[in-house]
Amino acid sequence: MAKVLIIEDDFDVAAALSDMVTRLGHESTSCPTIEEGIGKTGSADWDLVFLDVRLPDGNGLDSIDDFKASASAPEVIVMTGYGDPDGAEVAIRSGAWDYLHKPLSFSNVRLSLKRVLQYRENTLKLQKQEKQLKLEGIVGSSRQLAACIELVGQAAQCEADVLITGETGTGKELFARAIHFNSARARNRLVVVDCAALPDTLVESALFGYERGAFTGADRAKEGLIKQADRGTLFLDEVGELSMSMQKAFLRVLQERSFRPLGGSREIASDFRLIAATNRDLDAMSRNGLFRDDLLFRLRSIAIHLPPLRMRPGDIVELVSHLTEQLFESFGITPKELSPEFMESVLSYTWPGNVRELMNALRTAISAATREPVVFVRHLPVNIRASLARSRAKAQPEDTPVFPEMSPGVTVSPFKQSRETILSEWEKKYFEALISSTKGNIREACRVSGLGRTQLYEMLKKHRISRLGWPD
Amino acid sequence: MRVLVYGHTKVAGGRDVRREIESIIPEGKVEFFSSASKLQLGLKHPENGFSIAVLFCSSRNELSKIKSLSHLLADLGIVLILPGRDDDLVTIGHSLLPRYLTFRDSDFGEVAEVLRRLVNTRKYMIAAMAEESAGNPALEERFRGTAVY
Repeated sequence: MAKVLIIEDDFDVAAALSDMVTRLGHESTSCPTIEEGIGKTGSADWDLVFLDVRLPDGNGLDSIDDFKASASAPEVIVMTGYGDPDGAEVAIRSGAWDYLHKPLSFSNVRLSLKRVLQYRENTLKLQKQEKQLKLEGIVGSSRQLAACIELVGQAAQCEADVLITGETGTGKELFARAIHFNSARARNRLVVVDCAALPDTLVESALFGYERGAFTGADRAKEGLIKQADRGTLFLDEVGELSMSMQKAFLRVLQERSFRPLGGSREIASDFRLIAATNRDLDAMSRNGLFRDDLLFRLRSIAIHLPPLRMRPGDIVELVSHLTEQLFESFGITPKELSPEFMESVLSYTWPGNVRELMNALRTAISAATREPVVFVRHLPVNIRASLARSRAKAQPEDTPVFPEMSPGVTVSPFKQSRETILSEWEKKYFEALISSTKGNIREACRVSGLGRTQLYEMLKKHRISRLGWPD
Repeated sequence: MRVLVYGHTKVAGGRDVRREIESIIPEGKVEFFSSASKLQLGLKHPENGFSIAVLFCSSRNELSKIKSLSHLLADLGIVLILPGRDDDLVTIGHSLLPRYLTFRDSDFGEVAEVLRRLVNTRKYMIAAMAEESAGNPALEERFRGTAVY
């Protein structure tokens, strides 16, 4: 039985909905205002909140985050007026699980309730699993990373082949390890095949192995990596580097789970689970005839795309803390303080080499500050400092006019057009700065800007500003 | 980028491995270590990463010592040469997640070829990363492969 809170100021609507919920075997409580509703969610566990939009003490949509932030984090279903598509869109954008049009019908309420409770049950189950996952080296709490970790949990529970994509340094191997060590194969081997490191002449013999006398120099048989991964996991790193002929051969191995060593006369079985990884766009390669689409289809039973570090800046502080701690311990040195300017620089840089580059930069900085108790910006690698200096110089050009449209020599546009252009540019910069300074926290952004949630979302939508990358 | 090589030159195969490595990497660009304790000190020396380690283990005991350093080897590209083909040795070997694993009675020409490719890949990554942070967008896609993310 679920606990349902109904926030509706129309007594008749609330009573009818409460009756429907009770008939479906759940417990319901009603209240007429947002304030009273928030008070109730703070004092008991709720699974679901039915929330009206127009309430005596405010717009229900502006309080969705408050309900979701309560200890039991209930799902929210918004009740909107009939024929209000904007209201429905805003409800979903505001974080509601679903919306229902008034007048409410029993069948719609029943279906919606069933779905949301099913979703909630699954989510709680997954969260429980995620808490139990061993995620060595995977650090961060951004939504993007959480979505990847959720997929790790799913992949670990099954035997499907996995394709991990992402830029260099995003941690593809860490994720492959996490899948393997959380799977039923964890006690067996995780065998790495670096397709970029193996020359064409070596890939085949390394993967399949060979019999004695298979070629000149094969004076004894050698077991291949596919066989070595028997009952374990084969991690095919940089899979985009495989030649077309090897792709064909490997596709067959994937289909049959057996292969023939070079010079061998019989098939050998290997029960391996495959995880492949690449920083290449395999779809584009497939379109260009450089990667077999049937192999791509097989590899991508579960696809995990790792976000670049610049897309999850909210994770950088946590990562720096984790990595520096690890470095101090590995090098056996007393922990050092990181100056505020150092952290500011680390947060400003775009990290094209992602977590690997961050790790290396921290290693360099700590090394350079060996004899000092505090790590300063000057301890960072010179290419990073130079890049930051260049960005700052670009951001503050001395001779750039505040309003370029009004600079001497520029053709003057009509008043309305010019005003719109300048206003739009100013708005975009304002809301970018707002989202950045509030780290994507919508409630905080509303407080700082003095805008309602609906207005804020409209502005973010208008200027295509994403709050992705910031933790919830 | 550092290239660290571990192994005794006095044991069979050790000298051959060293000769192969020296044939592709200029003198002075490789750091050689003849004991696990010296290697441990070398790994504790913090320097810009993307390093590579070639580990030639001529005995089970040496492999155990190397295994005990796995926390320091985690970020390195490892080329591992095992002392034998026993299942348990292969299992310990794979636990270090080497980019290439072979045996002390194998053709070390393969080791040299793999090392050459690892060095080139890492050199390219470092160069592309430096150029991108220097604001050269043309290299951005090259650095990230053909990916358009």
